[in-house]
Amino acid sequence: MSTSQKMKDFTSEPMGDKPVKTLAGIGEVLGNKLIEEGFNYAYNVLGQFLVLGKNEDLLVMWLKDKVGANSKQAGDCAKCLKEWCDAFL
Amino acid sequence: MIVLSDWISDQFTHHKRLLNFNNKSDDEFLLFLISTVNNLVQSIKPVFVNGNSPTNNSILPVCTGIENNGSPKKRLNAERFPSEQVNKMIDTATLTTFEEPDKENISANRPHQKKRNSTDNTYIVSKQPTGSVTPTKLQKPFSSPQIHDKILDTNLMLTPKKILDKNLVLTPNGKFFTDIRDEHDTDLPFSTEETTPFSPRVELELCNKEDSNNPDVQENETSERDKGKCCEEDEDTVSHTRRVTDCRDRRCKFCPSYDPVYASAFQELLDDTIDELEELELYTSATESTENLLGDKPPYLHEAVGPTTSFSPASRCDKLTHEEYKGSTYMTEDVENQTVCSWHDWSMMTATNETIPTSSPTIIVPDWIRDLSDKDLRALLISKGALVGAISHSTRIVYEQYLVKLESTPLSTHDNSLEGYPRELVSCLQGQPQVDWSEAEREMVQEFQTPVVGRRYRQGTMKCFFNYLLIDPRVADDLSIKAKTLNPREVFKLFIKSVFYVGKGKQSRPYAHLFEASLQNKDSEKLRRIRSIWGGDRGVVSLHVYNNSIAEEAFTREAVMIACIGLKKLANEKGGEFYGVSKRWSAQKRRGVGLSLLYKAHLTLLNEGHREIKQCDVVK
Repeated sequence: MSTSQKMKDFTSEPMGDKPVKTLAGIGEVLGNKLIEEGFNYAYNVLGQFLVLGKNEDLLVMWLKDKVGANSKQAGDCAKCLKEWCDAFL
Repeated sequence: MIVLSDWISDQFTHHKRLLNFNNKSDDEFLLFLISTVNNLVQSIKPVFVNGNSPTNNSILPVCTGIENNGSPKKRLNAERFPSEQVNKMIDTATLTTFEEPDKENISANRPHQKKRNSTDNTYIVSKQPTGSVTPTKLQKPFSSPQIHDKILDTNLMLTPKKILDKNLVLTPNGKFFTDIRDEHDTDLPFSTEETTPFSPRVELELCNKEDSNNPDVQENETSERDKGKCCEEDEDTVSHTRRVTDCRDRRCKFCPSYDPVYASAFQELLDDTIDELEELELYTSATESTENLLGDKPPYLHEAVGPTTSFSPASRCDKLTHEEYKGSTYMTEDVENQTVCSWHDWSMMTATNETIPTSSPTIIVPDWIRDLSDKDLRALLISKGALVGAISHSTRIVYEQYLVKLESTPLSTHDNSLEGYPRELVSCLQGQPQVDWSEAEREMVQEFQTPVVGRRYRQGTMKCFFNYLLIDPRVADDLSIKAKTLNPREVFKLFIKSVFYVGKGKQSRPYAHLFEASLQNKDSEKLRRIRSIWGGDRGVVSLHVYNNSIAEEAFTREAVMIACIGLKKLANEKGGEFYGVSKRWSAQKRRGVGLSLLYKAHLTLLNEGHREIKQCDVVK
């Protein structure tokens, strides 16, 4: 599977204070839902990912549960964070 | 003297018509243009003072594709251009034009900032020391991308390199940049053939020309913005696909950094210019002509423009300011300005493409899991081989669902540790419902219980034989102890994995292997395994099962057990031999019975516990 541009962009540099919508798989709709839940920044979601032991499956489940993401979206997001962690953590 | 290329003079005529200057002379229209340009230049100048004072610091960063964090992303060539020089050049240009209007043409792409997505008050001021341009007829709007490209290429050919070099693009944020063209101009392929390898830099050219050729739609679009729009729609045309790909590549090269000073200054400037333009009533005339032109535009431009124009100016504006005030540091002036590649655009684009999330079937968490304490939940998950992080209120739900998932899915689907084992065994270890093989087993050994007198049996009819399994204790340690904590399936799996030899014999036959291993003069997989167990200061476990059978029964039982585990996973040299009714059985049935036998054998081990035979026990 080729990675999306958004994924490349995100995983190519430190995330800094990037908004949550910069995460791959998180678009306008999911982004707003996450913001409602208090996850304003990408690092908030990263935190959740880390608490879940960097387990992609768990983050996918969490995203589905929290904001009603579908498998594709949640999977993209988890993969994105995983790659970021591999590169920068 | 300023002489403009064909297409600019076309634009001149074209604009004149569009802006209802048809009944006026060329000079009048030119004056009008110049005044507009001057207005805009005036309105830009304050930005220089706010951002970078040209008097104190005459060097302005030319392009904005620079990131501060030193990421590996490609960057646009950052050029520095003396702002004073640029000002001077522009002034000279306008001035000269004013003095000799009959010989010179100037074209300014007037901005209509009502459309906020297209924000650039970009002027292209072309200078050419020699040569003149005869006004040509307005070219018909292009009917296909191919023709379009060709015409543009022709334009490139008509336009001497020097013109391109001196093209200055002035952006509203007060930064100057020359096009990416810069010193690479010589590379421009001038071929009009479709097969020409596509050059990104020609693409830039194309887009610039497109802007100018369709001024009323795109004149306030910068080339990158324009390309960004192209990217939003897939095209059938090969050349365009190539272009789109290229645009995408290009996109990632621009990752602008956020500069709040410029952004706010630009915002102010935009508001000012919009007000000015509203006064000039340029906007209304432009929108009218946009509608007129749309019908004749090349198909891909239609599509390209579509999504962007669907943004109403107001909503776009709201969006931008909203983003800005949210304090998102990646919001850049370039979103409005020059580049399309920031995350912001991408997220907006994906947002439009994004389907409303369809929530997947939710996992119903049974009450007993809900009632578990965090600690118990954690313990349960760990017992299932899951990697468990912190279980807190924010993660608890996920872990509950994870447990449900683990409960419902077979234990071993995730690990490939069962690879190489026969199907029946794997399905059993994965917890799938099993056929009851005990009847078949009884049938198999029935005829051996009362040996027929007069018939020859291999190795006689003495009921002194048994089967034995040699077990590697390093795999499972003492299963009889482990069985108290592990689930039965896991125990059986460990048992299967630890068996490395299945045999049949009488009396001290199992010890023959061990003795053989101690002699050091023979070598086989089985002996190596025994020696390695001994080497780790452990002993081999010899499990004797199914005692008191005649030889053929023991042979048969051995054979089905070997068939069940598979010769590959055992140190046995050869498979077993079948006697009696099992000779005619299918391999599947044999393996099934073998499974049944192995299961009982493992229960025996659990009952009896294991006793290891170490090397010192064999060699006295």
